Order: sequence, then C-alpha cells, then structure tokens
Amino acid sequence: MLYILEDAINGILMGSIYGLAALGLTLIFGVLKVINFAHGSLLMVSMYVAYWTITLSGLHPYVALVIVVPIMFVFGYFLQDIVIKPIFKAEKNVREPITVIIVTTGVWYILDNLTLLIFGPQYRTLQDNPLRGKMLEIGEFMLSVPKLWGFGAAVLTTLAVYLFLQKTDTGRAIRATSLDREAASLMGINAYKIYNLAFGIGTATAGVAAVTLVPFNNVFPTVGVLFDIKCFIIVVLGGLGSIGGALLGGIIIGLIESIAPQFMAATWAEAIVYGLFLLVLFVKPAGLFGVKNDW
Amino acid sequence: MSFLDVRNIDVSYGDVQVIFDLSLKIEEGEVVSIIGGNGSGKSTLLRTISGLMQAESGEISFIGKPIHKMPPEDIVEAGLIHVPEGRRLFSLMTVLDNLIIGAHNSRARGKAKVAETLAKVYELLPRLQERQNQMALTLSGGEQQMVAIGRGLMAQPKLLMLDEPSLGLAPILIKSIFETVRKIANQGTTVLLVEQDVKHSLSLSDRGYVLEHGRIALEGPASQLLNDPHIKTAYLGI
Repeated sequence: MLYILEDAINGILMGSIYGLAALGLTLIFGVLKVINFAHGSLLMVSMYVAYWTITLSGLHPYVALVIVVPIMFVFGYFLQDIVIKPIFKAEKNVREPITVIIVTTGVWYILDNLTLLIFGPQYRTLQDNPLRGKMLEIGEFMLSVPKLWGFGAAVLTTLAVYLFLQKTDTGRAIRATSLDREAASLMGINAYKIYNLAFGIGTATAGVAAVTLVPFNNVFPTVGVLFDIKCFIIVVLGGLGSIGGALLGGIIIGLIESIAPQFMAATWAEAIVYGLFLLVLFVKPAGLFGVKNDW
Repeated sequence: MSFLDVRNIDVSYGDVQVIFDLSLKIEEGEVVSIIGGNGSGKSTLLRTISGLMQAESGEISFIGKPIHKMPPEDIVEAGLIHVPEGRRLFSLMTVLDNLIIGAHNSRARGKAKVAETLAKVYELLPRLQERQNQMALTLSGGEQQMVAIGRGLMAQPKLLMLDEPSLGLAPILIKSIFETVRKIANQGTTVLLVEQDVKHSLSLSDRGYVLEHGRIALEGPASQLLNDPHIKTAYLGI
C-alpha cells in the first residue's frame, strides 16, 4: 500500500510539471483561439536556453529562471508579432483562423530542425547540478527533489498567471479580448498587442517548465514532441483556456502514469490516458474545468 | 467644421454594397437619430464610423481629425465611443469588470478617475451597483443594455454612438433606456442614436436622418420628421 502512495505522490509531482508545460498552450488558446502546434517546440527551445544558461553560468537551475523567463517572453512576443500576426490580419474576418494553426505547425518544424542543425541530435544532460538525482527520504517515502521543486514552481506559476489575469488591468484586457475581440477593440484595446502579450506569457511559462525539467530530463531537438501530445490531452481534459484546469489535468495524467503500471503492463497506462481523454470528450466536451463560452 | 463629419462614404461587404455615397454631420452637444428598417445599413454605418469596417471611398473626420483610416482602438482614444448592437458584453466577467474595462483608454484610465466615473455611472444606473459582482451573462436583457451603456460612459465619450439600445426589450424598459439616453445628453454628451423605434428616438433628438437602402432618404429637425407624412405611413403606421 505504501509504495502506491509513494507512486501517487511522485505522480502528482510529475503531473504538476506536465500541467506547467501545458499552461502556455491553454493560455494561448484561450486568448488567440488558436491551437499552437509549436508549443512543444517552444518548450524544447526553452529547455536549450535553460540548459545553456545553467551550463555556461554555473547558476543553480532555479536562479537561471531570471534569465530564461525574460528571454522566452521576448521570444514568444516577437514570434507572434512577426510571424503569426500578419496571418491574423489577413484572416481578420474569419471566425476560426485555420491558416494560423498551419503557420504554428510550420514554426514547429522550423524550430525543431533549426535546433537539430545547430546543436546536433545528441542528448544533453545537465552535469553537476545541485538537484540532479537527489532524493528526499521521509520515513519510508522516497521523493525526487527536482520534482518537488518543479511542483512548487508549477503551483506558484499557475497561481501567478491566474492572479495576473484576474487582478491587473492588463489581465482584465486579456480576458476581455479572449471573450470578444471586436467588443474589446471598441473599449480601446489593441487586440494584436494583447495577442503578443498572451503569446509572450505563454512562452514564458514554457520557460519555467523547461527550467523545472532540465535537472532530470535530457535535452534533444525532438524533446518537445514528447510533451506536445501530453500537453494537448491535458488542456482538453482540464478545459481549453482554463488556467487551473491545466494544472489539475496534468496531475490527473501524472497520477495515471505512475499508478497504473502497478496493476498492469506499463503500456496500458498510455491506453488509459487516451481512453480517459476520449471519455471526457464524449461526456464533457468543454473539459473537466472548462467553461462553455459561446453562448 | 462639424464635430463628426461623414462625407460621401461607400461601404460594402465583399461584393454587396450596403452604403451608397452617404454624408452626415453632427454638431457638438446635439442628439441625432438615425432611423431605418432592418437592412437599411444603420449598423454598418456605425461600424464604419467606429473603425470596425473600412469605407471603400469617402472620408470621416471627428473634431477636425480624419479617422477613416484609424483602427477602432485609436478612434476610442479620440473620444468616439460605440455601444454596439446586441450589447456585446464580456459575458464571463462581472458587471464591475465590464465597466472598468470600458475605461481602458488613456483619457479614462487611472484609479481615481475610474472611481469618479464609476460613481457617476452608478448614480445614473443604480441597478448596476446592486449587480456589480454578478457575471454579465446572468443579467436580464434590460440590465445587460444598461451595462453596455454604462460601459460606454466609462470611456468618457465625447460622442456616444448607441446602436439599437431598445432592441429586444419590453416596452417599460425601452422607456427607461430612452430616459437614460436623454439624461446622458442633458449632461452634455453628444449622442448619435441608431434606432428602429422611431417615435421614442425622434422625440428625444434634435435632428434625425432616415436611412433607406443605404442612402439618406430624409433629414431634418426631429419634430419636423415626426410629422412627415412619409415617416408617418412607413414607420409609425399612422
């Protein structure tokens, strides 16, 4: 019984990091109404930025946040401003701009292959970092220290994004734009600037996720793909556009992945994840914590 | 130079032209009604003035500044506020948040200023204060229209354009909405009112334009239009 509890706790820890990785995806969808297929690649780029920042500076991984997060914010902001915005403008009168989705797919391929070209296909592991392989022993429990840090980062980041959206003027403008872009522009809100901001913030949260991941996860050009699919399932499960839903969706996936292998072949865990995903789509298409916002 | 000056605009949706060579003028402090039936181009006209649509030709200027090439948010900054048809509230935000977001532009922003404007709006529409923490979508149609008007006032408009504020409301609510519009005008705001309710809107206006098939069919002082035989038969059913 005890080891199941231990697995459950580790599942929650890992799941919260999944949720953190998915946070940007759900935020960007909520505001731009665009499925960002490049999200995994943004996470991958973030991981490279985090890896090199930590390796070259020798900083504690979490101190590197002060460098990685601003870099990723600026990267996301200008990616939207330069690459995606022109497509939005061209598709101004289309309710669901499909072309933009295709553009994000292009960004995914370009980023992945550019990384392959520059850094090669090899796996990189963060050497000599203070979190690497550390375990915390509490009685009978063995908990992974880097994942505990990751859990803290995930909860704090989710909370910060939530409060930012609820309490600040800019957050209010972001929510208004996500609910009705045209009405927001009649309030004097520049929707494209809001899109830039949302994309920047979404990418910055991927930066936080990357910092939590690099101490125990290898870095390689296609690492984003592994998280991509998981992130999509998490945000649909939690409710597209729901900030808290991303964290809880992530934890659900983490729990299934860690507990299911105790009772069946590990490959079944994946099947259960997808099965649950389908079930949620059938029963509650808006996701567990999503709000239907087309009235 | 007029306060708002629309000169010879043509507006189309794709191949379908909706507004033909239309001109109108509004002076500061006036209340002007634009009346017309469904599909006469009333809403399109307002959407073009507020920058949501672009005119194919013609010019629009507001307080001497050309605005027909500006994006909507810059037109808001200039003080021209459009309360759109169908209210278009931010449904999943509270009434208070809806009102505060109305004051997003740089002339209306700032904690002290927002509090001051909010107090004025609550004085004019006391119902909103009772409802301030409710989600906008839980309100009745009349209350939603009040939020939409209140949100427009939060922007500190120099010219307030209201698109069919009486749409879909019960007669008693329509009366109170028009009374509110009258009060707003009495406080010195220039109002452009687009309506199908000809009698109510003309009786509180200084002047009126009648829009038919995207063209101005008639214009003049409101009292004169109310007695016009064409309007009597076509719009008032007398």
